[in-house]
Amino acid sequence: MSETYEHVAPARYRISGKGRVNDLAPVRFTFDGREIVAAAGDTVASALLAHGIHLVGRSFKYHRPRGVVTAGSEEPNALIRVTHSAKGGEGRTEPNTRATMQEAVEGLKVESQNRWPSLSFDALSLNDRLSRVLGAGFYYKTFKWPRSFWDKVYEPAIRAAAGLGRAPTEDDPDHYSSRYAFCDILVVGAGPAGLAAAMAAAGDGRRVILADESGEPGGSLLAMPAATIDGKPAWVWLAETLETLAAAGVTILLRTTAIAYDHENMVGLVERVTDHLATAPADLPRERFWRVRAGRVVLAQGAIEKPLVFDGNDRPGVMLAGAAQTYLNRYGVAVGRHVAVATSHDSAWHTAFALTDAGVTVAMIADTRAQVAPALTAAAAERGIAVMLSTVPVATQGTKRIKGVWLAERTGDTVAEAGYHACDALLMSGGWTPAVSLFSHTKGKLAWDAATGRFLPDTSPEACHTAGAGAGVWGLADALASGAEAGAAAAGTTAPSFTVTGDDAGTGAPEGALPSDRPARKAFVDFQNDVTAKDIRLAVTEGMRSIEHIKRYTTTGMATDQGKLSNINGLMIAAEALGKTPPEVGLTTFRPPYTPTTFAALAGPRRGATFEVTRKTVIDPWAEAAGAVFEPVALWRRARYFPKGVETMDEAVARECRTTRKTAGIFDASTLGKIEVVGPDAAEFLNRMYTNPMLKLGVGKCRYALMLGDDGFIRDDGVIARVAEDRFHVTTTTGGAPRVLATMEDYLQTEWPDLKVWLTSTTEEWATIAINGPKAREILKPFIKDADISAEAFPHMSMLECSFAGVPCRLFRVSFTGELGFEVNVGAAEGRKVWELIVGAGEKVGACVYGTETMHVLRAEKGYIIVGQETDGTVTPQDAGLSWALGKTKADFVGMRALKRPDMAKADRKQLVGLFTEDPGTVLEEGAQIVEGPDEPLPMTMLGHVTSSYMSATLGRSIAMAVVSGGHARMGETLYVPMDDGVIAATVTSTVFFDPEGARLNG
Amino acid sequence: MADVTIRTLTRAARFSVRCGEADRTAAAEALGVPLIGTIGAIAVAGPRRSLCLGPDEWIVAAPLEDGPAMTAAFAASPAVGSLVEVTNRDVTFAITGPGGEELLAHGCPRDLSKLAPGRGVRTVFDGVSVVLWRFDDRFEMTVWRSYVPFVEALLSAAAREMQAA
Repeated sequence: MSETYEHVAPARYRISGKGRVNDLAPVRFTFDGREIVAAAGDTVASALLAHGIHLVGRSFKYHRPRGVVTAGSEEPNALIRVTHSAKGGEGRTEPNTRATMQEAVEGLKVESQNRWPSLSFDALSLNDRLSRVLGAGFYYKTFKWPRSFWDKVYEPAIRAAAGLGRAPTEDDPDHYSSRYAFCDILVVGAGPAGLAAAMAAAGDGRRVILADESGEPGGSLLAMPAATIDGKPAWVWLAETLETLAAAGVTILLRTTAIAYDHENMVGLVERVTDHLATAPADLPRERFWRVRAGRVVLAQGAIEKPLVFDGNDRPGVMLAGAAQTYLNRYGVAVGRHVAVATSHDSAWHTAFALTDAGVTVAMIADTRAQVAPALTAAAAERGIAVMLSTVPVATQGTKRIKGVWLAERTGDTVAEAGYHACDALLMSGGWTPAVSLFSHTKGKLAWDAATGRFLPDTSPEACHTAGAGAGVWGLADALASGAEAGAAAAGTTAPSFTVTGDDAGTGAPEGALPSDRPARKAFVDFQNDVTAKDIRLAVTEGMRSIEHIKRYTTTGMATDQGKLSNINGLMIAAEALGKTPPEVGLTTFRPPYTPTTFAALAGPRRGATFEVTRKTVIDPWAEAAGAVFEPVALWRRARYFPKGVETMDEAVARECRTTRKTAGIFDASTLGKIEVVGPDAAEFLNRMYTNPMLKLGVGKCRYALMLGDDGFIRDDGVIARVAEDRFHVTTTTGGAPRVLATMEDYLQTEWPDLKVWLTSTTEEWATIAINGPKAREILKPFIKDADISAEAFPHMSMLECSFAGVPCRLFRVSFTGELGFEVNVGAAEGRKVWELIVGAGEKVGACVYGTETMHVLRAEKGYIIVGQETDGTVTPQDAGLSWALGKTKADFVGMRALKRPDMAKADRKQLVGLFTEDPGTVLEEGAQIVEGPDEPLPMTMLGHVTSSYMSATLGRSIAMAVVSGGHARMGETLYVPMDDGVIAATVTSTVFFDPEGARLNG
Repeated sequence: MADVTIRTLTRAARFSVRCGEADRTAAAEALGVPLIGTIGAIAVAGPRRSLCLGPDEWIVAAPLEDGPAMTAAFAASPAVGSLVEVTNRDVTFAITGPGGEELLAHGCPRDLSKLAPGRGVRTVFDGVSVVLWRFDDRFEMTVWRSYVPFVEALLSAAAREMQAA
């Protein structure tokens, strides 16, 4: 046999008149730079095979030449890198695409993988010759010592040499979509069983979804044109059935893989929407993730053919017999001219017959069994095919393409001398494994059928039915009947019946590793991870007993195909080596996704504007236009600072702080959580929820309020204003709003359902604009005509309802900066307008807008805490210096009882203090640990940590807050903050760094 | 592919109404719209409507100019309960056309074919809490104002996708 690879000719292996492809509609793509002319309907694999190209990649570990083995999604070898050139851009590149699933697309750039410098000559194939030392556990044993070499030497080198494919470096320009769908019956797999199930289930308004991973529905029918169903040729029946289903309203999803079966019949489907199109409308997603909630699910996923395990079973040109039948009948491609067949199952015989009938020479059928059905031998004899029973393949020859096979007669586990037989393709079949992955996702139990060497679906906790080959049913007639039964059972209908001729029903014998006349070093079990039968036996020899250990030690079944081809073979070999039955050794768990799935399909629309929920205030667009730098705060994005010109953050913040203290600053505080608490018992309710006394808070007055958990630790804080006798306006922290509302509802509904009070989230009802600074009133005053906001009439911690330039307003006199402060609350729809009015008026007097960073600095200068920054769920009011906020005469509040525990009053608790660094220019790092002495031996005693730290423009030096063990009693002490580049000394001070008398508040 | 149109509705007067069973009738009288005691039920009275969201919770929508009078009427009524205006909090999208269900399926995990016209539900759209009303010719989906840019981006991408298909 010559190397056909080097001279790509026209599709010499295409058989005219066969298959469902249209060679009058040529599709051109390139493979490693060579042009390939495919026919419409081809996959990349079928087009390459049509050109006689079997070698498509190098294996993972030994870099052995590998070819196409299957015709489906279970393909372990033919992994390619594809670039959708016609759609433009390196970003539309995907590694590890299965050539058997990628449809031929005009302009597609296909590259082989895992080879260097080229596919036909690969430098690392040296590994193949080293394979004696590269066996199971090699890395564990060899690279163990010295320990320090692992990170820097061994691991990088191993990673560089191994790995499949290269990740693309460009951004993916495509978009991805996801949606929910609901149906009464979801049928997975549109082969004969799935089609019959859908037929039985459809009608009477039932919503039926039929999903198939292929580009064309029909499954095995596409490879069985000679059969008839109900008197019609299979393909005619298929076309008519699809029409019937569509007419009955069945949703048929093609190129759609059911990747996961979750609880309550939630099945995840990934639909490949545009990968088969040369060009696609820009708004179409590349992939679509369907979350289908089904009433009942029929799993008709079919079966996956098992390879035979013998030396050299991985050479290009050795492939599964069923795949060859699919290439012949669906794609019109002969996988060789002079074909050998080795099998332990009847199905390969039918492939041999179909190939012969299509003009391909089948040299012989070697069957491992001593006896087969006389009809098979008769049919072989009719076609002049030599039959060799009790015969096993023991070796193959050829590097980049098989050239021949050694076949030997066996007697049990011994074999006679092997004979060489030339061939250009070797078709193998070790029988069929039901595809039970999705069934296993449901936590469905599997039953071992020893006679056929298969795990079959048994019971599942989900409302699911299995049918066809996936349920272990073999043969077209039985598959149709089982599908119809499952569909009828799912829908509560009567199963239709079918009359079939030309059925390929048959049986087989399970085999583990085949006996050999030579040491079988390269009898592969797992093609993708390069695991051989010898590796599995070695793992057993070295003490592995459970399949889970054997799997991890050898990596069998751990590749991206999850051992679809290899698991049962691996299990049989392990069981034999252990002298146990396969179920005693156990089967590894199948996990989602069923086939490799792109991250993008799972991410769906999670990129760009829809990457994550981002809440924006009505003032956000103004801030954006003003050049604000934003930061995320909970789900919100908030303006952090407003740089002018080339200002850095520090410069901008210093300016904003100085301007606010000197003149005034304007701040968008709309994100503050707000809860309207209404009802006759509103005051009583708040009195119980918060530590502060609330019963006697006057209408029009505000109070700072602290909320604890029932463990006594600070949970949230805010300002509560009494709007009316039975109505309060409660503010919460920005991030705490949903949690506080939920906590309140929880207490209300479970502890005090007798209270007549109701809670409504009004965070979004109000736009809140804070004006702080000596000139705050001057800015505000012209807009308020119907209320007196003078210092006397409207003192600190007051609230009134008024009109702001005609807009209804809740005006608060509160301050989070220590300056004269107001918070203007107006209906959010008017917020932008009111903001612009205030900013306009502010600019006239020299005020500025400021962001969250300046807000943080200004409040820290006053020692105001931020819940979640100074507190971490272990800080009590006393720890935070907020004892004054505890209602001393209150009968109860949430957390009161916990505060009475002796532990809560311990003197060495971490308490909130201020820190002045020795060098006023040094800004401590937030989170830095604090110790007593710089010379303390390791491990030092951690006294606490820095919670807030800033450069204060107002004070001309750095300030920090920290929680320190026994901190309140350490005033004036020097403590130390060890950092990577030295130890920083700092003095403990009060947390109120600026205006300790609070005179400025009353301006 | 089924047609669908998304439109942002102009602001309406909207209230969150809370009261016990004993006060339901009085509250309804004050607001000029029935408050049906069945969760999911929509009541319509002229241009005003209500949707029951919980055992003691309704959302009431009315023309913007009706708002102040409704607030005053509730305050004057003997009904013990809570009326909180959420006119500015809520932004409502009207989704019309036969593709409405499919459009909403891009983010809503509920089977909306089972939401009959004349009923509504509080649910989520891609993680964002929403209130959905279904009428004969449309869905109305209300989201809180700060979520509008996110939800709008998802809806319009979904609509474009449906159009391209």
